[in-house]
Amino acid sequence: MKEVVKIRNLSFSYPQNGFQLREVNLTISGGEMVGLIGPNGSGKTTLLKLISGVMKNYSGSIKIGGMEVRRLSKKKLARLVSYVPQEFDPLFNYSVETIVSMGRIPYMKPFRSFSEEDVRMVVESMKVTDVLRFRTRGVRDISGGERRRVTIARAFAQGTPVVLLDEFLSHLDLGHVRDIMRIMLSKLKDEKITIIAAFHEVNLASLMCDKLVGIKDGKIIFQGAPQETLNEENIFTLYGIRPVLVVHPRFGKPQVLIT
Amino acid sequence: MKNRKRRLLSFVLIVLLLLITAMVSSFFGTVRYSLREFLDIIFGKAIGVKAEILMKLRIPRVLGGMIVGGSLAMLGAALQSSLRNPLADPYILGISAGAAFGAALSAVLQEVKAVKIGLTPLLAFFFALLASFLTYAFARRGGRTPVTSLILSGVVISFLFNAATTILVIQGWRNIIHVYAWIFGSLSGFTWKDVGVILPFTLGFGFLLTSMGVKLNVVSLGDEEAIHVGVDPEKLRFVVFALSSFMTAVMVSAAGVIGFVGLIVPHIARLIFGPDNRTLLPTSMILGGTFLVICDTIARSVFQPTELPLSSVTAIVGVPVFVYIMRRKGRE
Repeated sequence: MKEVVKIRNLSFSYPQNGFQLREVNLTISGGEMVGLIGPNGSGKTTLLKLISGVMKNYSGSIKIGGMEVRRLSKKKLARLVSYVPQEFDPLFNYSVETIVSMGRIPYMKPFRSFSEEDVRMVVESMKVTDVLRFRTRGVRDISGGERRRVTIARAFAQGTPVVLLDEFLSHLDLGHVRDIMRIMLSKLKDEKITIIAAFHEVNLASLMCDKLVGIKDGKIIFQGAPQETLNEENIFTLYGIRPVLVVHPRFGKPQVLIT
Repeated sequence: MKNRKRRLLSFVLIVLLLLITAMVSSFFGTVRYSLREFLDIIFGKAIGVKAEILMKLRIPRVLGGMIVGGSLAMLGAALQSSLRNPLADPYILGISAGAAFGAALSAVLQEVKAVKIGLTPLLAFFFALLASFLTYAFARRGGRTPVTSLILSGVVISFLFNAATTILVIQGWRNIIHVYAWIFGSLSGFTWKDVGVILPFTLGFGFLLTSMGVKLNVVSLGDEEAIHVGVDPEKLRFVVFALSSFMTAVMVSAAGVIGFVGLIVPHIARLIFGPDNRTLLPTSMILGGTFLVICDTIARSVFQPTELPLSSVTAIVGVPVFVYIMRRKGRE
């Protein structure tokens, strides 16, 4: 598979609190799902925000499809990368449909409204994520799990080759976790998109991802397939605990148990 | 589908409400008209002093209320969305105070230095723009503009420009009544010429901002949300600020500072039509026009022959609504 995201010697620091991301090197192939794991504040979200172009004052290089993120216009970048945020709490109570159609903004022409293609993509992505049946409801009036599916639908409507997910399974009950996992995995299988996701939950990351990247204090500690990287030593370095590791009876992926 | 039908019906209703309000309110004032008289004059069957007053003073004044109220409400809605702040409007952000200072300055310059007319909207625009960017710059902290700090900084900027205007009033005391009208708002001097000048801007900017409705929607979710779908939030805010400053300057030059219309009307429109800026901006405009026409009718008829300053009428309605929104939504 060809390289879709290529990060070389990436460094970045926030002027406000001095937090740094140091010398990150990461190559992600098309069709892969990569999980970023690590303790809170380790730099997972920062890395996602750099890839999505929210902050462009980094040093080193982030290339998507061979193009440097820093040099791409916001609109062009939005046709390559979509983003599902961790928190979604809008001030105004927009309808589900209005939120999902925002994914088509990168394709809009000035003074035009949405095209037929736009509408088709919006409806299709609402179907896939099962939010179509409450599309006229306000996003503030639906549950947290439903709201997460709405932001996922918006990212799908954006139709980008790369999708970034920031802790997209956090604060959800098991039913919603399983639903959203299935939605993601079938999208991954059907459309060969590339997903980079920050995970709070190591076990879910292990189940879903082809590759895990362990980040601590702004540095990559390890990267590789879950079977190779989820060992006692790496878990200890990352989280400071000595776990018991078992293999998932169905999926054959390593699972971390707290002792 | 049911939802859409109901909204369409509501839209037709508010347009009818605006037209009826405009007609009925032109009956009231120092000179009163009956429906009969009104229709006779409109269709040219009656002439005389009363007809003159209706055609040359009353009707442009009512149209002025529609235009100014509609523009202020639309700008308020656009500012609220682009700043993610339910309390934003040209008055609260100090834009109106800046424009009033510019207008007053031009009046004094004309008086003292005999500068030619035509300067008023220009100076008003310059200071409106300056005020809006000062307010924004003071309130911005680490890439964010908290709701309350924007309001505080708007109040401070308003104080500053109001103080400067007061000094000018004392300097150019012969103009005092004129300047007074600028500070507290009045539609009494609104002419057909003003209608001709301002209406194209109201409609043009209304169309322009509405066409950016989808972008306003996403910026109101947050700057990062906007960037993720390829919208530059700073650029959009600049456009909204520049249009608001220009429009406010033009309106302040013609009708003075009128508060609270831009603040409360968008909230009423949101309650009826939802927050989508593509519908919010046009409906705010229609409701804002209706609201200000009613306020102006109260201002000129309740204590006649004395006219109340327009801002005092809008404030009586606006302050309770402001407090309500602040207590409910100012938490963030």
